Amino acid sequence: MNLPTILGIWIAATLTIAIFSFLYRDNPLYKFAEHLYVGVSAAYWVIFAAKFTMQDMLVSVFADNWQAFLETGSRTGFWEAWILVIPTALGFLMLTRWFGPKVGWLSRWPIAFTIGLGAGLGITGSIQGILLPQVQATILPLWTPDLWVIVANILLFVGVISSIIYFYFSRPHKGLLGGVSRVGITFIMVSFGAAFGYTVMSRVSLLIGRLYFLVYDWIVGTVDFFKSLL
Amino acid sequence: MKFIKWLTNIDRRIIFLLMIGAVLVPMLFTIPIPFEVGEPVQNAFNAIDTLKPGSVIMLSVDYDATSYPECQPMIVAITDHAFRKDLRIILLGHIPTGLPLGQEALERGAAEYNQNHKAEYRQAVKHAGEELKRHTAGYQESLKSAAAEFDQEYTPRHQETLDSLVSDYLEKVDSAAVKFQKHTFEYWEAVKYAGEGFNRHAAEYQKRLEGGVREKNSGYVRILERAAAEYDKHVTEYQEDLGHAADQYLKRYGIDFVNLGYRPGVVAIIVGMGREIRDFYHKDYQNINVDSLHMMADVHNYDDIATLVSFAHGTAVESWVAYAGARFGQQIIGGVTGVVAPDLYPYLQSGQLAGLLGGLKGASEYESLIKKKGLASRGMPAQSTAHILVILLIVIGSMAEFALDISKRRGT
Repeated sequence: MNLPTILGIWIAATLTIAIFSFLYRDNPLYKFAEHLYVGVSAAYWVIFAAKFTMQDMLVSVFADNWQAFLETGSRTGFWEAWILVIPTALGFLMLTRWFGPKVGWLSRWPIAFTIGLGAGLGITGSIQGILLPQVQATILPLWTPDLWVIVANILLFVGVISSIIYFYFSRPHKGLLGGVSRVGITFIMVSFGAAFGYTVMSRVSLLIGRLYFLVYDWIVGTVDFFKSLL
Repeated sequence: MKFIKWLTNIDRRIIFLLMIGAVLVPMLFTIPIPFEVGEPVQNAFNAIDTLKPGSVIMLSVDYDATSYPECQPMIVAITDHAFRKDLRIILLGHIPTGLPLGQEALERGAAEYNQNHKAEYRQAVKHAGEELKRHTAGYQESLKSAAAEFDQEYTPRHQETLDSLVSDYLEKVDSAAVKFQKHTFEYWEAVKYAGEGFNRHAAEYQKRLEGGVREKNSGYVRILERAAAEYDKHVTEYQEDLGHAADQYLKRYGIDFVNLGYRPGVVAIIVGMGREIRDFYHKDYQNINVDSLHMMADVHNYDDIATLVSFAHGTAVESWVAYAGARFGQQIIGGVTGVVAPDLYPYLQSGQLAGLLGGLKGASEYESLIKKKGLASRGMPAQSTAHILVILLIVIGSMAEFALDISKRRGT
């Protein structure tokens, strides 16, 4: 392990402890680490946006296509270069909201474009990719040679139908509707329980990751580093 | 009664300390806790394990440092498995702050693979070098015999120059192999550079040799040229042998794995890649043209990708399922945090996901299948003791509340 690595580990360990200090109570050390994290993340996003969006998807693509047009006279190159003016203009229109309501309404055009695109893709994706395959996967035989498959399929069938009925609000949940919806809420609660169990596991994993880092990378790593110097 | 009241309202800081203790103890003193591999992880493993060598898998980094302890062991394990099976890897991501974590996993995986195969690779390089030496010795012999036949002066200087050229080239290749063990792309650049230098010097040498000799005896020059052609053939063979050795024993950027980087617009990119990957990724994360990357030559869209693995802490897997899976029939595996995993079980049941790794447990199960003890396996004992603590706290808290309730009803 070299000096820059060990310095990096020390910075990371100090910031981890600063964040953990919130477990005792809020304090300036925690605030410092929190603000530093937000600032560094924002800077990182800016650099990525500049590099992978502005540079790679706009400037570089325009330059390459324009170069191809100049060298070969390719009409495709010409149009693929200049069509980029449209997303660029839409991007600039987003900034008009900085200049007050007189021109700010122009920012609605790129927003409308984004919403239109998102809705179009979202609707087809949801229906084709989620709704139909899920409905198809729920239509299962309730009678097969395997007893466990029968039990599983009946459970799935009852769970889906009763959960959907629980979310049917056009009639009061009384009588048969009330009974079935009560079965539905039971299934929903079981799924909440499973989700909560997984969430606990997830959060404990994060703690394990940080403590592992503190014990082995920081403490053991530092000891090894000084041993290697001697 | 006071104690029971205290149990229902324990200071949270005591619970934090207990939790840290429950995690630290098994971490410091290895406590083996057995576990079984679940069907979702086994299916994920089988999906990758049954792929033919040379198949392409796409790894999508849809998490960042906040999910490192859960998702990083997964990508490390799957990368390791893919390299062992000689699969080619395309890395990309929809979260810019997470992409370097994927790159780290690939680089470490490749370095580890190269380290494990260092001896075989060196042996193959040495063998190729010995073969070259054997053949170049023949070249020098034929030069000598030509000189003797035509009574030309074959000075020791000629032989020394040739020897030094060959040994210099070999030294450069060897030093590049040592220097760039972890960075095979640079290694190949260095080998290429050494090869170009060698050819330049050899050409100049032959020119000088010809200048004085050609006029005196054309028969000798013909033999010389034939010998030079033979020599070139052997050098080419040597370079091919080096290439074969590297193909077999090294994992190199651009040949075995690439990182396409980040592009904004998740859904549009997922859909667009069904037509042509280059429409969105015409350059990789190092700004290298994708067309110049060897492994991308025959990869254009999902038809060329055997399996896609999305490592996610959000809804990215659902996007892959809804668009790449449903529209293009792409086989998909999810590697997700524990929080996300329950939401994906319906896709397993419907067959839209070929396998699922959920949280640290999923990662440790995969590690056990590839027989490699990684970060997840080392963390699992701590995970189990922490869960036991949580269960104990819930049981104790509930019993204390129950006891309080009974005592209230009795009016004590």
